[in-house]
Amino acid sequence: MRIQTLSPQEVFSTLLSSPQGITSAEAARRRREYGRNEIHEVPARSMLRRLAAQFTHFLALLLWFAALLCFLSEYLHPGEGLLRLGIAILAVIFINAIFTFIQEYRTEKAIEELRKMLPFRVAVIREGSELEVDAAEIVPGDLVLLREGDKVPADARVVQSSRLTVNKALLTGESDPRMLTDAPDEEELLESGNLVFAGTLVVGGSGKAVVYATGMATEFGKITQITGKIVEEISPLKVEITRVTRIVAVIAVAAGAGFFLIGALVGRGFWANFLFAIGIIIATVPEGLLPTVTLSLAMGSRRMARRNALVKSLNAVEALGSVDLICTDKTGTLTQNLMTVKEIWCPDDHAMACTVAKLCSNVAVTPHGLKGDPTETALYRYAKAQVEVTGERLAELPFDSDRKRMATLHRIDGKLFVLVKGAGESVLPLCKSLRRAGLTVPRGGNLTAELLERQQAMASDGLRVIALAYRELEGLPAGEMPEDGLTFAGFMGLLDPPRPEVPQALKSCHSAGIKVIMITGDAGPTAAAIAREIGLITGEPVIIEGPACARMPDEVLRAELKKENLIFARMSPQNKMHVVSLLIEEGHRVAVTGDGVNDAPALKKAHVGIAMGLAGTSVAREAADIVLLDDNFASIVNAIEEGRAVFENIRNFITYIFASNIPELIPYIGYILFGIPLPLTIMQILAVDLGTDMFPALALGSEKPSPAIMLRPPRPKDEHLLTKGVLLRAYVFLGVLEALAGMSAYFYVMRQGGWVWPQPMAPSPTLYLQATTACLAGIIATQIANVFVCRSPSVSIIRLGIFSNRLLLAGITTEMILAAFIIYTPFGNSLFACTPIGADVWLLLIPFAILLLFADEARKYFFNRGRKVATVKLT
Amino acid sequence: MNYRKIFSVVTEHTASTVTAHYAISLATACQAELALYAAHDEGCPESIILHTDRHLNHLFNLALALNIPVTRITEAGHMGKLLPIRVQKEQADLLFYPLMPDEQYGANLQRHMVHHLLRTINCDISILRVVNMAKPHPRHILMPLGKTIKDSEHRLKFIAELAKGFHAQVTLFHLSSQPGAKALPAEITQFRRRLQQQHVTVLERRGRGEIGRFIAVEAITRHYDLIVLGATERGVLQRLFYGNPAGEVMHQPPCNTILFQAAR
Repeated sequence: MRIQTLSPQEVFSTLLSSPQGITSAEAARRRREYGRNEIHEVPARSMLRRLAAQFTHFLALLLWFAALLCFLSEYLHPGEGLLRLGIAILAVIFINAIFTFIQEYRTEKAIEELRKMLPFRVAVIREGSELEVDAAEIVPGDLVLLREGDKVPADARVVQSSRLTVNKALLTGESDPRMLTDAPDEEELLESGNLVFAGTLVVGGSGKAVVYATGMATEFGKITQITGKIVEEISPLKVEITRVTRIVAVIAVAAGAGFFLIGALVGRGFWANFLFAIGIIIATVPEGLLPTVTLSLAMGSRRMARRNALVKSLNAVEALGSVDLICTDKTGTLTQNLMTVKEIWCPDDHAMACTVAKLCSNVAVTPHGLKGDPTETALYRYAKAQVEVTGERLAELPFDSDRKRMATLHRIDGKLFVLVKGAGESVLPLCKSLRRAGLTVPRGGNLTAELLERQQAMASDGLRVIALAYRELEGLPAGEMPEDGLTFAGFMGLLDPPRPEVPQALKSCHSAGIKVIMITGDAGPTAAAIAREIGLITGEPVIIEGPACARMPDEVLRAELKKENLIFARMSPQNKMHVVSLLIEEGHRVAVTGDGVNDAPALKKAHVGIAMGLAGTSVAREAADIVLLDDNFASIVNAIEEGRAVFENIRNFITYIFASNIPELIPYIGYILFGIPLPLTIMQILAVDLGTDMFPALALGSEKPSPAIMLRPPRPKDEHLLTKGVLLRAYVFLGVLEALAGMSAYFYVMRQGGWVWPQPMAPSPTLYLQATTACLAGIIATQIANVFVCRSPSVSIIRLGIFSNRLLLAGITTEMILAAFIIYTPFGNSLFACTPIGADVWLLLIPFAILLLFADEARKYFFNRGRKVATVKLT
Repeated sequence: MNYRKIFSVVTEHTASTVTAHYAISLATACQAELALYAAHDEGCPESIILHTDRHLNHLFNLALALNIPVTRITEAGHMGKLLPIRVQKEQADLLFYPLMPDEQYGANLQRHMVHHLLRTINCDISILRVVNMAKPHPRHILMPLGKTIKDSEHRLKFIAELAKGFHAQVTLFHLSSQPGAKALPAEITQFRRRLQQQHVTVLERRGRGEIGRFIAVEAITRHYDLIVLGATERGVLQRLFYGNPAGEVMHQPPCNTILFQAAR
């Protein structure tokens, strides 16, 4: 026994209600039992917890630990300057956390948008009287009154209907309204012809319904629940950044501990070793990495917005670049959502078919153009261009998805006509004749076959076929408008033309190794015809329809998902969610498009949810990571290109940032192993990591996508941001060259001042300050050269164009201004323990910067030559 | 062996009528006796007694119309004390109990009636959280199972009778902690086979994730109308460390949910 299968009397009995409704006291009792009829938020991570998470990730914990050690050592062994260092580390933690939090924080508005879709006041019958109550006061068992224009307040079973017509598009995605009855029905819940659901709209007629579910127990509430409960897939970038920070943390702690032990072995004191270990950790941890990544993603999102993809979640920027599969809608995304009549077929002349198409229609002619259903608008537009006919409408039987037709009673030139338009299978059985060569011919077996064959031929061309028919009446009908005994007038075939830019976008997807699957609510042949036209499929299509998909065991569906030329047709949003889940389980990185309320769970579940900005509901837009401003599939492909560029850019600036760790580390090794005065202080390291390095790194994040970026397959799942190659290039190649520059400048200044090894101290404090400043200047100078070489791991600077990234030039300028502030202003000097250095030091450093440029150009040359040789050998 | 005597607690709440509908269907399927039970504390408001009585009448007549041997029992006193004694005395082998609106299974202090009954009743107990009055006859039942199935005999009997009583199909749902695990654990496979032997249509689903959350998502996306959970025996500390998925689902389920505990 299901509620839709019961008679109205049984419904009352089951829900302990009656045709007089329930009493107000009973309503109050049930409200205590089932709660208020409200959509409420599923508890999610609070803002406070999100903020706390920024202070407790791995890198932050490591820095907390370092700060704690500094404070402890300051307490136990004051005067070593560790207090200042501890405070500096805390500042780093706070700046990182708050900055990242502000960038990442995004209010969950989807639930709020859902709430707005329920009505505020509703008419009910309680104790036999009609009352108007707050929709939130409705309880199971309440008898609600539904009239045209009402929003349904809760899930309810219709017990009385007077042509009650409801649009359930909100839940089912089906835009055609449906007339409901009070008769028992064996259909499944959402397809049932006697159930109404919270949030749906009464578009015609009136009726009474008994509420059986309220609040979060309604189908609408379940969407809210699932939207809140679905755990968003962790973006690949988040996984990678976590991995990078862990690797760096391990390297930092291992290096710190290792050199602490070495220091102990060579006989240095505990505190000297401790200071040294802290210095090693600070030098190895890239403090500026997280804010740079966040800012780089923010810049990527701005570039995407310029290409009509509005990014709501920063991580989606890179996640989109990593997708290998797109599940896309058809209407409006691949097509223009602009139905047009492509073909007309009439057994006689077109006049009567066009008359039906023009008059049997609810299109509104407004000063801004035609308003109404896209199919009706297309028929009207076409018919209006063909015939000049007017008529007086006397009655209408509206379209509903069960009858699949619409009928009107019109007076045209003083004659009465019933005009009918609808699906062939609904209209043709009502036709008993057709006009041919000016005569009315009865519809016999041969003619029926001919009509069906014609209809089939048009449908197989991907056209949506509408049958048009009419009947002339002698006088006004006494009862219902007669819809039988019609004369067939013709077929009109409509097509929603594909967007012109889509075929090229699909080709880009193909060359970029991205699979595209169409998931549409349309019928299979229509979907297949469009897919073939735009080049989405090349061979015989594999069409899986929604009902079959729902019945299919997971194992079978998984096997189907591996097939080429796959199309999902007549899919409900639930079916879509299921397919998306399986694709994710199969290891794909999936982007999903959607526009309906019921698409919200699938949009949240996917790695990247893409909502339609023009046709989408506000709920879909809020649940998505990216909103397409033009609903165009080509914009998704453009955004993927940007996403891929973001990953490359992040890898490039990681190389840049990591390279400076070596010249920060080598001075400490020299200090502990060779007893030289420490060539670089911890504050100077922080000046590089959080100061001079930041702007050039950000500029690297704005590098344009390389031309070949969409000719490569998606990044394999096991390919990491931080690879052996990246580490070797940063640490062993670029880093060593930078260390050479820094240490050379340091020794140059020390030797000029009279220092000789193995003196443990500089002859004067000023000399020492000058020497450490020279070391810092060495790092800054070579980092300027490094930022150019890091623009690409393989493409020469000459090919890229030295001035092609203007932000980079701005970044370098800022870096130089910062360096000047640190080295040449008293405030900068006091903050970072520096002192001005002479031009001779800079002159010494310039050749090192040039050397780094040439050395990496040579590396790129040999790297590319090696790759060419390998390619030739393979071919 | 089938159930011979089924008890169903009836209260002033409509959820108890839905619960009793389950008991009635099961009694029909098993040809068992049915006892509709109510108990009122001293000083209980008259309106509550009247409502309970009205529900008892409605359900009693319904059971009679279905030719079920039915008794209605109303006692004066605290249900927590009286019901275990009555269940033992009447030799009932299954008790249906509707969770009251303010009751929360798995609440930290475990002071609700449901906890008392779970500790003191000595037959199988089926605790129901009703969120939808319209689904007294489930067609699609979701049964989440762990790697090992405690009291499998009792649970098998209950779910088999329930499925047969409602002509429902049962989906065994296992959440694995091992990534890429393709096969169901042996105990679940065995459980499935034995259900099939009793002519129950059985489907299976696997997944990975946070248990409570995943069950809710699965139930909503696949339109199940009943979830049958096993009672957890986790104490306060265990719940603190390992969570309380059953309590989580029972607290705010997406559809009507049964928590089953086998007889001690």
